[in-house]
Amino acid sequence: MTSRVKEKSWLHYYLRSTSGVIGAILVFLMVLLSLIAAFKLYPHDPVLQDIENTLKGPSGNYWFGTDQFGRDIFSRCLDGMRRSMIVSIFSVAIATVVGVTLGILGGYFGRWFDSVVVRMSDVIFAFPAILLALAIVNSLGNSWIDTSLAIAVVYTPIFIRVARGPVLSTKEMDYVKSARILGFSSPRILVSHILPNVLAPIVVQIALSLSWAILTESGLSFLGLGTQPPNASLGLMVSDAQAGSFCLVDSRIPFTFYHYRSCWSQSGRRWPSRFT
Amino acid sequence: MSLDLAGATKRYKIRATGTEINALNGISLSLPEGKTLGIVGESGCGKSTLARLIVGLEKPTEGSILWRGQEIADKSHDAFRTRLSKTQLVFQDPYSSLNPRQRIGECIAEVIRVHKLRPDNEISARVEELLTVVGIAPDLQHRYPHQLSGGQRQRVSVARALAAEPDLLVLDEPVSALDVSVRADVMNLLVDLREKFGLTYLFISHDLSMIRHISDLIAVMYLGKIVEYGTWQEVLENPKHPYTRALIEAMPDHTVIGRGNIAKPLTGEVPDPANMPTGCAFHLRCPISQPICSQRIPDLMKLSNSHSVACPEVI
Repeated sequence: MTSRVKEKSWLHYYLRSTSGVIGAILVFLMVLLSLIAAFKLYPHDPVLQDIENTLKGPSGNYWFGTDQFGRDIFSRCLDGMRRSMIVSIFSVAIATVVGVTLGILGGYFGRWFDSVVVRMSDVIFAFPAILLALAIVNSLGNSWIDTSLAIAVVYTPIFIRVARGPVLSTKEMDYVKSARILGFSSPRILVSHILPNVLAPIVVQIALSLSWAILTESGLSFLGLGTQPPNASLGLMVSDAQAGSFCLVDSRIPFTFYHYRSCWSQSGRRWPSRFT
Repeated sequence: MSLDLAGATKRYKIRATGTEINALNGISLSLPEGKTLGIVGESGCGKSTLARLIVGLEKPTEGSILWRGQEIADKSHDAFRTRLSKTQLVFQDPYSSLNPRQRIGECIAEVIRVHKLRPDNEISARVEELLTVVGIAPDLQHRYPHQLSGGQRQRVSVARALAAEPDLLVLDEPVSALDVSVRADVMNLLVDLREKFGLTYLFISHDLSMIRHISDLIAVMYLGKIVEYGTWQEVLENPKHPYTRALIEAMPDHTVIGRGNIAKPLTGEVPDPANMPTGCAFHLRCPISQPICSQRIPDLMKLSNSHSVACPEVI
């Protein structure tokens, strides 16, 4: 006869926060639009040029108008969003896995390994993010994987720092000492006793980084080092629009992303509320 | 078969100042199996350091610590292997000694599973058995530590230590952090468990009444040294060392123990362990201090077969 204590799940608390729900809806919308692009369900081919319809205003056929090559801006927005999403998720995933692993190992084992990890991240921190990304993209190449790797390198030290700090305090807790006295191996202690207790700030950092990565990707593309023409990218479109056409409408998109970003990070903050 | 400490010493280097903290200054004692040794002393006298050395969380700088004639396994360096040890520790603070993200049943089951102490299909029965033994309803095994009271958590800590099937249990102030109302319950539980499993206890406390309740032998510590050692009757009813006398005098209730001619209460602070006084560590606060005390380091001297004291002035 086991009577479980009825626990309210994190979803329950999440749904009670207004900003979290709004953020979740907006993020869901973005994902949906990207999926539309992923399944090529956009109204026009985003790279198909139509010389007869260049620089048209918004209409029933071209919802956001066309650019200087007669390509449909709405379709290009969708496809650009998809690229940005892929790059941000991929880069943040790499940064999280590498950064959290190094941060936790460094914080727990200390000594020379910790010093090396901290110095390394200090060196990366010393560069302005976009400059470092520029340098990396320049040496690697221009594919979306290279862009993702560049952003991942820039974001890794942030995750090292976010993971390492709480580990330093958690490893001194009695329950970690007691795990050592009980004779548990270090990998077990790290995975089942330290990691779950340092997860909260990491989850928030993932949410923040996902949105920042979108901006960084746009920035790189704007400078011509991310997505290459004729493929669509939000940053690239802003850059094209500077030619002075009607296409200013697409410069609204990164701005919208910025808005989503704040909602997203709000939603991220709701995650760790359970145990605090 | 016993716990034997021979000249166990622990010094911590402080890199910033280049000084050394003398946490333990040569502890020698022998605790026969099945007995309970109570260790008393003020804050900072090295009681908890002693506990950490005995469970192998740290290595002594000098000297040796043997349990059943074998050196205690050294866990001070993080090993990548699993190793079960026969000495376990119960911490003072029940609020930080359990993983807040682990249900209490799982936290006990983990010990059994990792060390393969029971076949997999018997683990849950064993967890329920252990919880019952320490007086926790097995129904509570799905709770997180933050859903339990301090007393309940301390019982869970004891159950988890027992899950490792230890012979020697080091109890580092196990009831100090608890409400006075639940202290007696936990103390009685500890006494019952000792009988039931034939455990050897090393019970650390600064509360003489708790020590008296549970101990066969008592060691009084001052600044990393044992100043008096004997059976509880000898130490509490016939205290010899001026520090032991002062501790007993300082107890709020004198009616149970500590009748006798007591010197003046202690004044001053415990000296800095990084800057030890010469001679007897206690001479600066000692009511019967002699000029020679600042030059001579007293050793434990036997008064009787079991009773010894580190003060030549009272022999």
